[in-house]
Amino acid sequence: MAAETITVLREGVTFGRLLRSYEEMDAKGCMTLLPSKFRRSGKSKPYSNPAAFSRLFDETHRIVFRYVYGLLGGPCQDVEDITADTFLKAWSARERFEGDVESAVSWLMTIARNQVIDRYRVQQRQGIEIWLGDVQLAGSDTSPEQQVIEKEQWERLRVIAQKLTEQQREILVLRYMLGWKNKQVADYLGIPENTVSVILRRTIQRLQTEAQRQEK
Amino acid sequence: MKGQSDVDDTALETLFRRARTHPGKRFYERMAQAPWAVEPSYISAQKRRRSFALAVVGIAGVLLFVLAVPLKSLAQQAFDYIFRGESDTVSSPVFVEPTAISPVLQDLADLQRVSQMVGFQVRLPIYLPESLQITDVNVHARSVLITYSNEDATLIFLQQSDATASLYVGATAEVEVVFVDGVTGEFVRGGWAQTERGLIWDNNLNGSHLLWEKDGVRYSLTAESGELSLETLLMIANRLP
Repeated sequence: MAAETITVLREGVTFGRLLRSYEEMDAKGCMTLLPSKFRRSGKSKPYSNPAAFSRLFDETHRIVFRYVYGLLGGPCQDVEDITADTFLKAWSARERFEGDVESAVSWLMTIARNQVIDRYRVQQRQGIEIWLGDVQLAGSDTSPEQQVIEKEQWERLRVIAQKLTEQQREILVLRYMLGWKNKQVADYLGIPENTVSVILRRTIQRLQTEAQRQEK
Repeated sequence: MKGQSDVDDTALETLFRRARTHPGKRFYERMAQAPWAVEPSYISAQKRRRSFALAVVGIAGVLLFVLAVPLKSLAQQAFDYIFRGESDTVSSPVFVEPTAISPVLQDLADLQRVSQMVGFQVRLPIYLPESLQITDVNVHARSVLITYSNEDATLIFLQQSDATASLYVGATAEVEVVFVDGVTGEFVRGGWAQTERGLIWDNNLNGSHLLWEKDGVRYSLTAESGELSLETLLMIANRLP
């Protein structure tokens, strides 16, 4: 038996990578990028077996993680725990779920939100120091001056977001952290789309006012 | 340039898109023990990344049946950098993990250090799809493997000066000869799925490879998720300094 050195492509089923850019999510709608074989509209108990649930996890855990991060604000370890618990609870309840993958995302996010409420609001947890305080911005190819400005914007946003109501912050998270359209946000929260628009507009105005105040 | 007060919808989208929010190793380790994680195909993204870094540099496969292929057949199936087997199955692959040094590339001074280690000038792309950035650098012997990642994709850039290995692909792999970086290269899409019967080639799996050789250095540009098109890979490769 002789050996030959080879390079092997890695195992490649990575459904989780399909929601690849926020531009696409915006342009096409969050769920339209899922592969057709992942859609199970109308199928009964679509995630009852481990393989199907595993695919659901691969596909959605980053979305749920990001959502929890936004709701909770950090620290990362707590966010990881809640995200993990969300999927474990969903696994326990998988026989009762019926719907397509879009419904599954809403289902998971609702479980996640309840986890946040159960674990922190009921315990009257002390507020975190800074919302998303342990989240840094990735580098970009913009000029150093622009990067400084963006960093300041990010810091300011985190401080201001701390003062928003839970609903306002959740809308901010859904719109920008998950890249959803206003209509998707409205549908998920069960509120008018116009309300979403108004809250976002006010939040941006508040950011601008704060920025101008600091520039003076 | 925007002023500090120019915070608008677009600026917020940009900021949040660049926010680093990834589950960590601890999370994936816990989820690997979850009740649904019973399929061999389930490997966490981090594990895949690590295993690939090791695999690309030094996987050795013992493939008895490959050696049994007639020479004429070999000549028909081998390209310059890609070797197409007679079957889509590798029933008994043997993986050899190399010893790798992993410096973190912080700046151009580090780039020079890495270049000295591998013995040739390492080239970093001046064009990359938005938000991809270096997340890992592995050096092994006379090769360097640079990983670029963002939230949604991973790009692997391997450069080696003593390349003797070919990219081994399945019999049904569709290899495309392309013009890249001023020379002729090869492109293939697909991947090996790990199953109980061994590795099985699947053209529909995510993952795409662009390979070429220039000035004695072998280059391999891999979109791990297969999300980057050939055109994008060519744009990256054609703008190397």
